[in-house]
Amino acid sequence: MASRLSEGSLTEGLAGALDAGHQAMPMETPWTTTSLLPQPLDIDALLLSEDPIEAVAAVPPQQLYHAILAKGPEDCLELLPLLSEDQVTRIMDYDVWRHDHLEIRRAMRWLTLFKEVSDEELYRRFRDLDEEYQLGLLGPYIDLIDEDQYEKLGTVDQDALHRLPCGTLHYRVKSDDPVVIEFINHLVDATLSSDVSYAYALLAHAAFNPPNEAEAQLVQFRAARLSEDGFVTYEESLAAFRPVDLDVLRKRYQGANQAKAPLHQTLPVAASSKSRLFLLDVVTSGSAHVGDQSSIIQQQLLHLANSLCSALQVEADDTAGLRRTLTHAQGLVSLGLEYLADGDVNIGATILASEHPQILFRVGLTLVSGVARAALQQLEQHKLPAAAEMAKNLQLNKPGLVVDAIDQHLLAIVGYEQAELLKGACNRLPLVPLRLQAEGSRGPRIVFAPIGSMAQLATLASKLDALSGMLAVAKLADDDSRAGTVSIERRLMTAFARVLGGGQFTGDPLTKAEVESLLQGDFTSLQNLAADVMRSIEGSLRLELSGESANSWSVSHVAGVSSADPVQGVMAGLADLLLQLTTALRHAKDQETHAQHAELVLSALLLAQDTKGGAL
Amino acid sequence: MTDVTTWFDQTEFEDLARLLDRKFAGLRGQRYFAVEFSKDGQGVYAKVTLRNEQASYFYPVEARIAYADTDLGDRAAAMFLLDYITDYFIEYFREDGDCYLPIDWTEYQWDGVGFQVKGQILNLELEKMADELLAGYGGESDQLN
Repeated sequence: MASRLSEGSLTEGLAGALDAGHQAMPMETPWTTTSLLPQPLDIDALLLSEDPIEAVAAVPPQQLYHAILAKGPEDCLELLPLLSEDQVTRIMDYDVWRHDHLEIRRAMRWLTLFKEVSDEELYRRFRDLDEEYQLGLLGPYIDLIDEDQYEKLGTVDQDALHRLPCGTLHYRVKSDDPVVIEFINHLVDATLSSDVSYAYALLAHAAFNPPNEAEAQLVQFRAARLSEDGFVTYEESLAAFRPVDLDVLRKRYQGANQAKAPLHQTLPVAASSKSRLFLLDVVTSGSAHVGDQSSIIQQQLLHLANSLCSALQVEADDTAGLRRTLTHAQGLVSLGLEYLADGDVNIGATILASEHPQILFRVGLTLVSGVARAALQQLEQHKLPAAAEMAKNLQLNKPGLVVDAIDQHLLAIVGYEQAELLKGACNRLPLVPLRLQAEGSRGPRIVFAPIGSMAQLATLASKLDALSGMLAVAKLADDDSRAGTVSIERRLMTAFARVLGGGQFTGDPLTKAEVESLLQGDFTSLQNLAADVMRSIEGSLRLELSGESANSWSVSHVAGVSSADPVQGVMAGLADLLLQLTTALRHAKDQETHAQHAELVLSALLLAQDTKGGAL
Repeated sequence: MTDVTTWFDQTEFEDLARLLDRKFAGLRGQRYFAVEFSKDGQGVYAKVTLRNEQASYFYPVEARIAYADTDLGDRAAAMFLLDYITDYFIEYFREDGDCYLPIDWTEYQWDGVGFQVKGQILNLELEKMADELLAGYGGESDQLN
């Protein structure tokens, strides 16, 4: 198991899941993916073909394996005898391992199916496996006992042994599991009835081979075979998550002048790209010129997804995990392609013909990572807790730690929705919030979508703009002196409340006199005052936007991503806070006779010296 | 599980359940976890329930370990069982729910330690409706037997 809940602090149990980045956040795919995924194989059609053996042999092992799993191995008994030796070995490679250890029960599932065909088939298939597989599976379970040893045993122990045909040797299955014992006995019987000398040799090697030697050798052989499908080591897999130099790639396809142009001046953001991947447009258009590019891309995407599996902790038999990986992979490939091609399908086809999808995947990832980095930079500038460490961990390609730190340190400061937004942006496989899902008594939770287009990237940047803008406004109130301990909403509401009470836009806790004055104020004039403050804030934000983009408060400006007017999202957020505040004030005023209750309502929203809610 | 004394407090159970919720957030849909540990003179018990709000899907996975079979202390034994159940749920989600446990206590071995496990997916909502329906006819379900 990658990480256990009981190891050290409880959060370590989460580390693996968070670092993998594809299972710890709820996700829906907003685009149609079918035509870019490897097409499901029709096993029945294979069996009905003119030469089924040849037809089966022509199918890539991984595709065959997934097809058998989809149909159910127990329903594929007609197919099993047609599998080649290599295909059986590869199926074992995919299916009977957990964390680099052989699992006899999983192997038994397949070998028992061969036994269903016939004892002879079980013997043949087992003998045809790599020698290391044979010894790796049997070695831990076989004890061979000669005549001398036999005589020294008690009657009960003797009864537990199985006599071999020579009459001088016995074997024992070293397991308490009746299913394992029964299977091994069947296997030994099947080999004895087909080839006695092989059976003796197998038992002798299994009993006297050094423990774990066969398995250790198999790990190497299996890794070499799996690498043909794209499955690579953890370190090699992580390489696919390294950023690329975007300028160099853009120059390659669009010339030096365009490459130097800022991203937001050249980016096309197609309205339709949320539901249809640009990659699909390119593949569809390309097929008219260069033949069936679609199947090539399918294979390349599968190869890419396989290569990501190790970093994402997806094992070769995890079809659901592989499907999620493929979805993310095709999304990021499409994003990278759309960016490099400036949304031009013809340029896209040229790029697709010359660049491996892994490069395009890295381009997509680099773009999103730029946005996430810009967001963390804003958090750091505004002195939010652990922001510097998060930025460092993102740089070090440790997104699981960043996601965990957001939950640990920022949830109370930025609120649930913004914390989830940040987690999505920093996730190993980046995500953008899609919708709120009701969760019964546990309240709603955010469902995410993988990022697959410049439009979605712009949406992500725009949502992060709203957060960074609020931080910039909160800084106007208290110069970030409370940024590490008080929620942004509370800081802003306190400053707004002071303005509504006739004071300045500052974030110091309200005095009792200020709270009383606030409750006695005339709401119509207060709202006019609030509108003036909002206009002033908007002016200030716009003024800052006109300056150097690197110093901007806007994440989209810093990252160079074109998005809708960044100020709008901030103003909408502030208007919402103001509405909450005025509603609470009205309510508190209505409850004037219950002063204590009014105080409680306000203390939940504001920093005030004389209320219990003075500190977070 | 009779005469048991719980020793983890409610907050710890909730923290562990929250941890499982987070770990499987992308896989569990609208279901969520609950964690309980207990112990008696025989051994330590762990129960992790995956369920939805209406309890139309209610999957308690239970594991128990006898003091005689382990050197682990109470807490460590409970966490060991939780680790096993977590590992089971990894497999359960990986196999799209097609990975069942025996409905009665059955011996298991994991990490060289022997213990017992059971689990059964229930539809408590339906059972409740059936009970109410039968009660409407003037009797409890067991009166039919």
